[in-house]
Amino acid sequence: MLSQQQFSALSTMLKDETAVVLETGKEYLVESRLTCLMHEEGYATLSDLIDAVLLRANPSLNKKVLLALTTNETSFFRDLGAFELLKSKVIPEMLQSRASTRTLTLWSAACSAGQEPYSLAIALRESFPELASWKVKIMASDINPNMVARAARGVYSSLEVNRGLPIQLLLKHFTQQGDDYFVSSEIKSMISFFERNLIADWPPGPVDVLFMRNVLIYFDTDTKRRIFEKVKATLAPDGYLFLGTAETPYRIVEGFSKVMGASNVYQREGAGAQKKGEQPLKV
Amino acid sequence: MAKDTLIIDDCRFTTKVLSKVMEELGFQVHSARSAEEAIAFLETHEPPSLFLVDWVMPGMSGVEFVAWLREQATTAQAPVLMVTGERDMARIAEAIAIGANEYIMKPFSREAVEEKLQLLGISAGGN
Repeated sequence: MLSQQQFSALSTMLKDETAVVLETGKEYLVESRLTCLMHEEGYATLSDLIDAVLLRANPSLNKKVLLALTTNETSFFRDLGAFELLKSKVIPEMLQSRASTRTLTLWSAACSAGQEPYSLAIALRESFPELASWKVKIMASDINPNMVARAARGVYSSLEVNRGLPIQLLLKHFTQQGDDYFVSSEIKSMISFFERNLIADWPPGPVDVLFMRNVLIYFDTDTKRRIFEKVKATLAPDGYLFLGTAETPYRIVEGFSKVMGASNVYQREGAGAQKKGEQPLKV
Repeated sequence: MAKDTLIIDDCRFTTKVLSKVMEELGFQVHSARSAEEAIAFLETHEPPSLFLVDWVMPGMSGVEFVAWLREQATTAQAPVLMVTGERDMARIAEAIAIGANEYIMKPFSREAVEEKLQLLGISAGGN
């Protein structure tokens, strides 16, 4: 077991180097994340490993420990239901409705380290090979320029590719150099990355599929309303808005209908779902 | 009735962590310290709903064990999630070709286990 002093010193180091806060009470996290690394690196106890890390004598070891401790809530194909809906309903509809223009625009509006836009690109490449002859534009933005740069590099640790990425897709769409896994140039070429604050100017529409998940939760109601108005102005009339599980336009703004059977997917009121005789929930 | 899982790993700490995660997810957990011990377990028990298999172990390796599972009528289609420190993609491809269904590289998080179970369509109570 590690001592309270070791936990405190490790927390300080983690905050200094990654800005991630390891709160008191998360000792179990240290134990579960570092125990196997302790064995792999040949340390007899967790305490010995932490002592070595705090001495900062082995940069490679410290990098592994910080990577192991950094809780990254982002995963590939986060919320499988959203990607299932994309494959079973949204894109098939778009293939029909946009057959004349053969253009499709998707936007991952809070892309963080890139897992979401890469998941979109991989899903399209895997499930809709016919889109290869279309003009498909996947935009990916984040407010944090460091995250945008990171996402554009498309390089991930084993901990990150462990999260939500089917192993067959890792083998197919990534290459490996040392401990890092690189997204293939083919998948990277499908995406354009840029820095964007969602309360500032938006890219020109129309956007057919907008993934804006787990970002509204950080804003107050007025800001959410302004953002939803921007969504209305940018989303194609029959486009789809994918929100995070704790996010909704309900009681904030009118004009959106929830797609039946989907956890948190919306369309502008009067969009395609109604034309097909479905009964979306008005919010 | 809760589904059960068999963890095959010589690292008792990995077994402890994995057991805790799987129990919290509602699984009944069995464990074996080697592939040979797992085979002995299967001689007296029904195959579990899920195998969690390490690669490098004394005696029969995890991949050899997966190959063995695939040769048995009762486990030819059993879901196998490898949980191992082996991170080389060529080696991972080898494990998948032999019959592992999914793969987690150590160290891992609880969330990674949950997401891999979702990919396999396995939950403690359903499927």
